[in-house]
Amino acid sequence: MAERMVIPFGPQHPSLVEPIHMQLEVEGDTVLGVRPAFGFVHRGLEKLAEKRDWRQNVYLVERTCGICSFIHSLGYCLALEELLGVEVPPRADLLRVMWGELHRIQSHYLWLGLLADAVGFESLFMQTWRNRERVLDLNELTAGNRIVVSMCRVGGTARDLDAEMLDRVEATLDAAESEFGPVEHTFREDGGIARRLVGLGRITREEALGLGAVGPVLRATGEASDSRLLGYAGYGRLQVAPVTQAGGDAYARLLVRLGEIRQSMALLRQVLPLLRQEPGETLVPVRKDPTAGEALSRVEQPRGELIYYVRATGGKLLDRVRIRTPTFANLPALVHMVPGNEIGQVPALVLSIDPCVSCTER
Amino acid sequence: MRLLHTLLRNVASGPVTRRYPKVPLVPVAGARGDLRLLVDRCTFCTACAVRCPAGALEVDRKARTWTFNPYRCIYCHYCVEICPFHALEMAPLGREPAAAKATVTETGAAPVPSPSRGTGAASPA
Repeated sequence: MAERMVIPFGPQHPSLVEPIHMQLEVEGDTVLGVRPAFGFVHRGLEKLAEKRDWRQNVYLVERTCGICSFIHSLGYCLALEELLGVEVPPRADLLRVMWGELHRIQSHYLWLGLLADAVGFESLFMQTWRNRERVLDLNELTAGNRIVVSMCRVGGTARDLDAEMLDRVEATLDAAESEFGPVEHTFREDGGIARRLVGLGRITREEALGLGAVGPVLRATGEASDSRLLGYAGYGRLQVAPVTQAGGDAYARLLVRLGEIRQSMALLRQVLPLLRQEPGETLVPVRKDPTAGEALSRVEQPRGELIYYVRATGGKLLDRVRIRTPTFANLPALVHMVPGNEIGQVPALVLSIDPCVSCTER
Repeated sequence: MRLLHTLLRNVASGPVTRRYPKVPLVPVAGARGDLRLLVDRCTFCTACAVRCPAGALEVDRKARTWTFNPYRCIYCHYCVEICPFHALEMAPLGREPAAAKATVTETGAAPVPSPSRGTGAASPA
């Protein structure tokens, strides 16, 4: 009978992509219990948001996450616009969808690359990140920055795209779609990846709902839950069908994310003609400060549902900004998944929820 | 096997990365890099310094100096957008690497007294 012991796992660990810390209670090679601990990358961001004025906060909250930054600023701006009663121009809504989907594609590419690296498929990892570069270049071309694009403003977007730029976006999208084919095929068909992931961290739909899981973790259990169905920004005008899988395991989560890259590309195909057909303003000036009140927005990040809660008491400074990140919602599901697995599978399990610990600890 | 074709094509086509530093970076138009002040246009109104979310700018109205700390800049472009006199611009390339941190200070010429305000006399309300 092997002795029961506790192994600290993370926050610094060669196999971990994020500084997550867990106390693993193990017997032999089998994990029996998990105690997660947080706070290693806490930055006091929500407190800082109370010290900056509400316009400066757009840039602050955008830096909550280094990967899906645009969607953070979008969530904050939606909440502020509700509080201020600002009507965003339709063209700005479409541009917000475009940058949001570009962020989703590059975020999923990043995760796919990390997954390929975790299963030891180095050439696939390199190819996936090479494809991601094309999307980042597109961000730079359209917005001026590669990751933190700072394009969202309360009242619209900072830039507009002319017809020539839209042509270049479309040409890049053509190339990105054809490049994605071999990568997608390999992820779907490679036996080694399937052997590592099928059955790993399986949870049922009822368990995922009970544990409050969101995003691809929830959709991989067959639940068609996607905040984009709420129709925020320009999504109300587009055809959004959540990508779901029935497996509930790490492999199903991989398939959901592969499907979502295709879905994002299809959404961009829907947005580009609308941007061509409908010229107009992209930013309405907002000159007043919010009056006392509160607002909440829900947006779909690559990792799941992101919630922004904003409370104002009047004036330039906000009373409270609360950010509920999707990784925070997925952690109970992770803690539920880990026991019963071998310790060597824990890094792949952690990766399967696509954790963003910097978001979670803010 | 489909990935193998891609990989073989990659081998034949050479590295996708630029040969740094031999091949210089071609800047993308509209990219956000080093912040510059067009000092002739600046009225030292402090609008940029008040709004900078990172506190990278300091403006002294009396001394007519504009000080920029490039190591605090987050390249958000907010100052460029709000400057009422279009006195700020961002070069498409970032700042060169440096061995020591330093700030950039621009000093404006002494203000020309405007006839409506005069010098020292009370301005009409």
